[in-house]
Amino acid sequence: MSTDTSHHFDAIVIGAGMTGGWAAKELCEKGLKTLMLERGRNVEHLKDYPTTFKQPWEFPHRGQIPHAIKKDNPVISRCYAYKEDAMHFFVKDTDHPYVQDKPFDWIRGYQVGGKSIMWARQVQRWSDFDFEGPARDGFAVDWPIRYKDLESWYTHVEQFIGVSGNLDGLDTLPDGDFLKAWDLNCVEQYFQGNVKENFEDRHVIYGRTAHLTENRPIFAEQGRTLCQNRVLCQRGCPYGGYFNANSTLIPWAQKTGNLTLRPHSVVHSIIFDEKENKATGVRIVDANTKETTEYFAKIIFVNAATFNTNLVLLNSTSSRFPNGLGNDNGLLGKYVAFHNYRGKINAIHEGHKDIKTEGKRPTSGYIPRFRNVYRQETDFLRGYAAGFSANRGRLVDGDGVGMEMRDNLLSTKDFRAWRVGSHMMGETIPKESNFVSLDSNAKDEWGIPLLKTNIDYDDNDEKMLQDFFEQFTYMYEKAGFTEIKTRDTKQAPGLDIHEMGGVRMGHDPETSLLNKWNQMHACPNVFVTDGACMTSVSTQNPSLTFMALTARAANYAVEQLQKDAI
Amino acid sequence: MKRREALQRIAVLSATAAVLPACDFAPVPILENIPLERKQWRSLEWLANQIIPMEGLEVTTPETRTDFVLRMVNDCYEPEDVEEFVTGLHGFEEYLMGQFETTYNRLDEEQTAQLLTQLQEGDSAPKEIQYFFDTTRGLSRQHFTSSEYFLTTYLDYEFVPGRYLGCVPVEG
Repeated sequence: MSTDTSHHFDAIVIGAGMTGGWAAKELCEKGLKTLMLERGRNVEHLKDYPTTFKQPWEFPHRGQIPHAIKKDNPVISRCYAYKEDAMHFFVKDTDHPYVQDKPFDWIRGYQVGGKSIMWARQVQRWSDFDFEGPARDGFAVDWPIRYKDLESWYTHVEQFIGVSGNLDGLDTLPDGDFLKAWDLNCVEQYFQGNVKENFEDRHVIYGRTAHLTENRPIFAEQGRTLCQNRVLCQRGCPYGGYFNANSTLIPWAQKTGNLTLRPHSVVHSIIFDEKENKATGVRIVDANTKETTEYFAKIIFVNAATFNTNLVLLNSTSSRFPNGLGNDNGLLGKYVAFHNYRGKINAIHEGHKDIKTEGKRPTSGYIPRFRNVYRQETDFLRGYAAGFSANRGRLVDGDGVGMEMRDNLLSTKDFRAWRVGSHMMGETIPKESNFVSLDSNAKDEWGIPLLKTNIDYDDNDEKMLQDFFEQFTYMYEKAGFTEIKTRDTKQAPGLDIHEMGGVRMGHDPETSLLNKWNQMHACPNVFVTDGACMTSVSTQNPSLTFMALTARAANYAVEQLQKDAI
Repeated sequence: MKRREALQRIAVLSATAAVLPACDFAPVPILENIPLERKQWRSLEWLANQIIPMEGLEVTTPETRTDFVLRMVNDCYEPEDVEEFVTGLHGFEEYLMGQFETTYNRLDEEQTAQLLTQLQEGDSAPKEIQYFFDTTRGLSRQHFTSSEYFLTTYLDYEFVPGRYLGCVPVEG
């Protein structure tokens, strides 16, 4: 073991994204000297948001991605947020290849802050209808926790990141500590009322979102101020108006004096010491020099984002763990699931012609899951949540040519009809046959095996998609919407950017990798608290749950360290 | 020299410059995918400006409309579309000669209107000429509708709205 004290820490956190940020914050606040490893570059709040003040006309291609980049990088080019203003925060296919045994669009952000810079900021709590899903419906394994285990940690996270929302009083979507909400617009309110009238258990609510709509001392302490409704969040926000790790968790952890941040550090593996029977450190390859270095700590948090967390663990082999760290049961990398985002529906609302909106809003309406909640009522398991938004803008008449086109463009200031739309967020069932693994031959330029994806939709997903189309068409018809159009995007899994699992939590070491504290059953000083830990995926945007699990696990880890239990 | 007289002189000089190619020293843009001669470049510029005339409007953009059209086609279009555009651009002068027996900068107002109308109707020109025109028309319009002038005057654009109001009466 190295005796160089500069390589010894109390804790190592692998990954500087949203959950790594939470681990670092909690551990540093509790006095642990913490090393945070990030494979990408540093991104400092304000300083490294090069496009944040750019006007739309200042982008040379007005937002479009040049053809040569699209051609070489088809996966990332399919991501809705991969545009000229934020492309520098996304991983290009060509820079970091992986092997798709089945098509999977793997969307990644390799930098300090990770994907928290460009995320969609929707944050809803899980309820026991979600945690009890696998046990009730007989899939995956039972979650080792319930809502009450996470409730105070949800609050802990919400109070720090700031969440704008309404107290809706729904048992499917527990309320939190919310800042005030922006409006649902008149058409969204109309649909809300219409759905309430016609469907007992269906609700249209305001989508809870990680934006500051009120000042509180904790936000001022972070140096953040109110969201200014620019909705250019993916570029990084000069006001700190939305939550990302760069403006909050990481500087907060740095302020304690306990954090060492090391960017450009590609984690090769976790070092397992057979004599001590625990993990002792992390082996990294410097992204630039390719030099291998080892760092040591008492506890290790793995927060590399779902698939890279799987990759690091699978690549952490030893004679004790020949198939990857903690992988005694052979389930590491398996039971991966995601959200089915294939369904979209759009329509026209002919009413409310005398109403418009003003300004912008970084969220939309949200319809929590209503299928199979209280009882199994369809021929598929589980269900879907959906967005709902209505908008209208000015008509642009660009017909004609010459003075005619000019006159057309300059003479119309009328509004077009309202457009309404929803997209489906379906729960998929984790299965052993949906898995990630390591390629036995191909390696990346840092000598690390490439990740292979074997993930696909199944019949349950297809049936659920049809149900979404049927139910939403019916709901839209009831509301009198016209020109209703449904669309199956046929997108590959992954484009939802909600991949989860592979290192699931559970009661039993025979059937899961982590215990109820996100601690590896077989290597208790290693904690996995990002999306990889998820036993099932429910329908909610998952980040809030990852963050709450991380904060909870980090505090538990500190207690265990203090008791000398790990 | 009185101001009016000076302005008249400048006007005469500019007009002279416009018809004397030898005095056109502006460097022709160099693009990876669009080989371009001076005359082709100027004919594109002329066409783009005819598509939406800007006289009397104060529209400032970071780049000229011609530069925008060329950059978008060069960088963002599929190779086969770039090729079709280039063929159309290179054949445009010949097309004009065939139709009007003159070059773009000698077309009179009536001929210009006729040219634009027939290309707009889109049923007579060779396929590449039509594609070149349609593309230039679409990108010229995008250049204008994405300008600060158009966004702020016609589309209620605000960079920092600081609010969202969901139920505002439409005025008038």
